[in-house]
Amino acid sequence: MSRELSISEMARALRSGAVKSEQLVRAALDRINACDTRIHAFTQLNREYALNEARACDLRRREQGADNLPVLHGIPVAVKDIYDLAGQPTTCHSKLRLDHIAEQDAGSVQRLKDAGAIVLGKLATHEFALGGPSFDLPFPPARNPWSLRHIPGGSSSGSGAAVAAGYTRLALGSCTGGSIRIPAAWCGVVGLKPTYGRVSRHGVFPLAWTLDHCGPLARSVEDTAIGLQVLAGHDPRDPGSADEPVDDYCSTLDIGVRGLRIGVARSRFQHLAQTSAEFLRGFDRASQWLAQEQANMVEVCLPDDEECVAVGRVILAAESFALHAKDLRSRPLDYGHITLSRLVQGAAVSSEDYLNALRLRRELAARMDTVFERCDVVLTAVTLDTAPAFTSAGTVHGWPAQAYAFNVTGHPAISVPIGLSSQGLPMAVQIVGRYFDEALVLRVARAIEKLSGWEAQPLPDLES
Amino acid sequence: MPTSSGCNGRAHIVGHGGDQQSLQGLMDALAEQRIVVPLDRMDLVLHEFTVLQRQRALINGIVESDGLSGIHTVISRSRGAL
Repeated sequence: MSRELSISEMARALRSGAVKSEQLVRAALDRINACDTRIHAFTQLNREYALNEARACDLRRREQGADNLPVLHGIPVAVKDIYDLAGQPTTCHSKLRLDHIAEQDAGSVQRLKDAGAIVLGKLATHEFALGGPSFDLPFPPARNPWSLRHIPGGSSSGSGAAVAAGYTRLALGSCTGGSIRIPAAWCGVVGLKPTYGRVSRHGVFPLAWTLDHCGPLARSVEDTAIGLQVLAGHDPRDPGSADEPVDDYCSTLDIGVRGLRIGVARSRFQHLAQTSAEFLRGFDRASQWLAQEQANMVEVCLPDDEECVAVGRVILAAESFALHAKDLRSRPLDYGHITLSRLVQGAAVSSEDYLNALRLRRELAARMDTVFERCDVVLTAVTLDTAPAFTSAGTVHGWPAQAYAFNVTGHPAISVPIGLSSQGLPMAVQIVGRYFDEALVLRVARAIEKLSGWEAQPLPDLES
Repeated sequence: MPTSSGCNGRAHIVGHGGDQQSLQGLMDALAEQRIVVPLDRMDLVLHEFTVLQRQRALINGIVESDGLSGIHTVISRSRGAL
């Protein structure tokens, strides 16, 4: 049942008494039971906890009335297994962390719970949000619900897969170089990397402090907006958290794009060998939809992607090495093959490399800000083709994607589906905005969602 | 277990086509950090290293030659600013 209602519809049905929270949670658990032995989105499912919480929510609603209950009251969600859930392991999908038990909830998890959400469990990730789809870890890699032979993308692989499979409408992911938007794109869901500092990272296992972002993956743009509304806000426990006002993300969603200046960054990827002709046609269709809605489309040139990726990777290598050096010395064989090969690179990054990367990052961010003098948002690619098959996925460097730049600059960016390829795999585009202008990013994404017809797209058929 | 750590002297990686001198730099750095990488994992380490070497060179080249040497940075980030 929960998979067929949006979050706002679930909330309305709960308020009116048409449905109980226990029914929503049972429906989610039934779907997970039926499908997750093949999808492997969950690493840990809190069945009894979720049912008990649901019953408690139903009781509270009966006793106190439904009018003043928070927006996610009684609604099931799930979180990537790098977020702390009090009393439960935060494994980061790694042998190194199987015994770790969190003492308290992560800041974002606490916000979800304060809003009434019921956390079903923990979701698969690439090891430490870094490695890749691997078979040498304690849990199997998540698979793409649209085709089990294909990867879901990552590192928030379980989050993308869980939403696409219809287990939950909302999941938390994290993003250091594209780890929210890439799985969102390849799984046909919406994924938002907010502005750096917009969502708390307290209690989330870090990968690279100055690149890490937390954010939602959800079934629709409206669900994403509701999720961000709950998550956004200052948290002094996260040193990178921004003390900035939080907009109303839901009230402006359906205003449309008429009169907006939308920068089109097609030149960034149109000639790349990785860019498929089918994706390019899809991108052009999305651009035409917006033009037909009387947005002003202007060509823009973004900072060079190769420079952005270089800056991101050098910073990531240095910062992640600092986090893992002790374990790399004492337990190297407990890391998966891919993760180890990436983490050890930091040993060879000098202070000159790191600081020059930080300096160039400042320049790239300034260049990106200049782009926004000519437009209100940018339309660009996030993935350049559909999801690779497991057999050809290789390492993340080879993936046809362009997501790193906005982790480097810190601008908010969202992946929104535009349809299915001829192979039946999802395609998506990316909308990027000015710092803290998530409301406009969501508004343009909502327009694309409507114009593409994706909001009527059924879940993938997992019964056959 | 065969390893490529500096504990056993210099590593000999043959047939990967990488920059042998730079790779030796990585081996030395790992040895200095007392990090042991099994030899059967070195193929991917070398692949990653080759990519990162290119990226380091790109960044350092831009900063040195493109008139960016005067730009400043801050280590911490907040409010989306750098």
